[in-house]
Amino acid sequence: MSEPIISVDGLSVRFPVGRSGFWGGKQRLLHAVDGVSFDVARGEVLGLVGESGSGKSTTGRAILRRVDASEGTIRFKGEDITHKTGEEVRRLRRHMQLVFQDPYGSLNPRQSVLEIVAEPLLVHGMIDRISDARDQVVEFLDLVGMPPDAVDRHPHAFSGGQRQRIGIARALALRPDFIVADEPVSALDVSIQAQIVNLMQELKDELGLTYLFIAHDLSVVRHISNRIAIMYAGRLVEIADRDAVYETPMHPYTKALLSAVPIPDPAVEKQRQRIVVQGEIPDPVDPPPGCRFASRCAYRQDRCVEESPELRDVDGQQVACHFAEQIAAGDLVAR
Amino acid sequence: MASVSDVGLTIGRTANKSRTRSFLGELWQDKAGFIGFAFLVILLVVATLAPLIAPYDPASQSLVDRLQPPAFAGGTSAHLLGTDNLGRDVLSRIIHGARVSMLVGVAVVFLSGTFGVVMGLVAGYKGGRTDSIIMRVVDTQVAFPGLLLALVILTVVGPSVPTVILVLAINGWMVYARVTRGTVLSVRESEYVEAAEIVGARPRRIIFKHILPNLSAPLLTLGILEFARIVLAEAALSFLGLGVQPPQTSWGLDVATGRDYIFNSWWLVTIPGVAIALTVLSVNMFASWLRIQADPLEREKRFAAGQGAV
Repeated sequence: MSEPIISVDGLSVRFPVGRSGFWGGKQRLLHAVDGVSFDVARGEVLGLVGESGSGKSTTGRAILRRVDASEGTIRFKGEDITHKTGEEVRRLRRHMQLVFQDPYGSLNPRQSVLEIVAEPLLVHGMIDRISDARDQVVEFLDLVGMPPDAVDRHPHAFSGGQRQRIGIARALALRPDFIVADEPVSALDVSIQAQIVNLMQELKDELGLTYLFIAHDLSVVRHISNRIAIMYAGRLVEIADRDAVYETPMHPYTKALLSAVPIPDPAVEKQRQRIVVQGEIPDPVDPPPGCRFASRCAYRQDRCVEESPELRDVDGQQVACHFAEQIAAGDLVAR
Repeated sequence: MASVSDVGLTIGRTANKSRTRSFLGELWQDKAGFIGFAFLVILLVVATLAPLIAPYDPASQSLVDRLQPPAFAGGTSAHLLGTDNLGRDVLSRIIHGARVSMLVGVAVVFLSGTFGVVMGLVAGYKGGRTDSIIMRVVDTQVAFPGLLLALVILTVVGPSVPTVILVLAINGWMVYARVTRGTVLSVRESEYVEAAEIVGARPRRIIFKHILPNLSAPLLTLGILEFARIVLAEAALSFLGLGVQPPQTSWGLDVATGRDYIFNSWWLVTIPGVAIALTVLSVNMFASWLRIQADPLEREKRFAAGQGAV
C-alpha cells in the first residue's frame, strides 16, 4: 500500500488516578493504552474494535492530540506530532477531525446548524462571519444528505441519524484528510446504522478520506473496513485484513468476539458454537505481567500468565498470542 | 451615496420595528411575563421622571401633617399614600426612592455578576492551580463577615450611592463564582465542548460561545434572587446610617425608618415594602419568560404546542 497517513508506534497513554496511601505515596496510573503500534494507509479504513474500556477511544483521541501520549510516537504524513502543543495542534485539526459517538451530546443545543457547521471555518479564519459560510454549509449539508432548509434550525429539531449527519458535515467542513470516527453509529437505531455507514463509505470514496473507524461490534465495521485491529485491555491483540479476521481469526479473543456476531441464517446460527468468555477484565491500574487476556482465555498456559505476547506475524496476520499457530492447527484444545 | 445610506437606514428601522413588534407579540403570549415587563417599564419611566411626577418634594417636612394615613385608609387626597413621621409625602418618597433602589440593585447585580461569572468561568475551565487560587479567595471572602467589611469600607471612604454599590458588589460576587464554576465543570465535559476543541476553537470562544450560553438559566435565576437581596441589603446599610444619606431616599431607608412606627402607622413600612416586593415579583415573572425564550428547546416546544392548537 501507499505511504501511511498515520503511523502509531508503541503508543501508551496513562492517566493519573490519585495517589496510593494516606500520605500521598506513589502516583497511581491507569494504563488506558499500552504499547499500541499500527499504520493507516492513505485512503484506507482501519476498523478498531474492542469492548468498553479497551482503550480504543483513547487511542483515537491520542492520534488527534486530544490526550497526551505517555510513550511512543504518532506520525501524521511522516511528521512526528506526538509533542506538538497549542497553536500547532490547532493547525493539525484542519487535517484530522473526529466524528462523535453521541449525536445528541455532541451538538451544542443553542447553536443553529449553520453555526455548528460553519464554526470550524470561522475559527480557522477561513471566513470572517458565520453568515458568509451559508452557501458552503448548504453544500456540506447536501453532501451528507440533509435538506438546505436545515441550516437555520437547531439540533433538537432532528432525529439521531440526522444529527449524526450534521456532525459528519461539521467534521468535513475543514476538508480534512483523516477522520477518526468514534463509534459513529453505536448510539443510533439499527435501521439508521447502515445508512450512516453507507454515507461514510460514499464520502470516503468521493472526498478521498481515510478513516480510523472505532466500534465495539465487529458486524458494524465489516462493511466499511479494509483492515481490522482488535484491542483488549489497552493492547492490540490482532490486526489483519478484513476477510482474514472474519474467516481465520487467530487470537482467542477475536474468536470470542466473532462468535458474538449474529449470522442472519437461522440454520447456521443454531449449529454455531458460541464462545462465552468467563472471568474479569484485568485491573487497568495494576495490569498483570503476562497476556492481558489470560484471565479469560480458554487456551491459557503457564507461559501466558508470565510473559506478555508481542504482536507478531503469523500467516500474514499480526497476532499477539504465544500459541496462535497451535490454536490454528488445532493442537491446543479449549478448556 | 446619501440615498443609499438612507435606504439602509429605513430598512434598518423597519427591521427594528418588526423586531420590537414580534418581541411584544411573543411576550403577550405569556401574560405573567407581560405584566412583569409592563410594571418594570412603568417603574423605569417613573424613576427617570421622578421630579416631574412626584406631587411633593420628597424631603420637605410638614410637622402639622405628620403620620397621616393613606387616602384609602381614612386619609386625605392631598397625600394619597399618607405621610411619615416628619410629615413627608410617602408617594413622593416612593417615586424618588425608586431611583436609588433600582440603581443600586441593577448596578450591583451587574457588577458582581460580571466579575463573579468571569472568575467562575476561568476557574472552572482552566482548573488546576488557577481554580484552586480563585476558589480559595472565594472561600476566604465568604468566611469573612460581609457586613463588617462593608462597614469598614463605608467608614473609611464615606457613605454615598457609588460606594454602597461598590461595597455590595465586593460582597456579592462569590456566589456567582461558585455557581458558575460548578456548572462549568459539568458543561465542559460535554461532547459539544470537546467537539469545539477538536474543531480548533480557542478557549475564549469555547468559554463565551459554548459554555456561557448554557449557563444562562441558572445565572438569570441567581441574578434575580440577588437583586431582591441587594435591595434589602442597601436598606440594611441605610438603616445603619452608612447607606443612602438623607435628603436622598430609597425604599430600604423608608422601610428602616418606618419600623419605629409599625404599630400605629403601618403604611410607613408596608408601602415601600410592597414596592420592593412588586418589583422583585415583576423581575421574576419577566425573567422566567426570558429564560424560556432564550432556550431554543423550550421555544420549539412552545411553537409546536401553538401549531397543535391550530
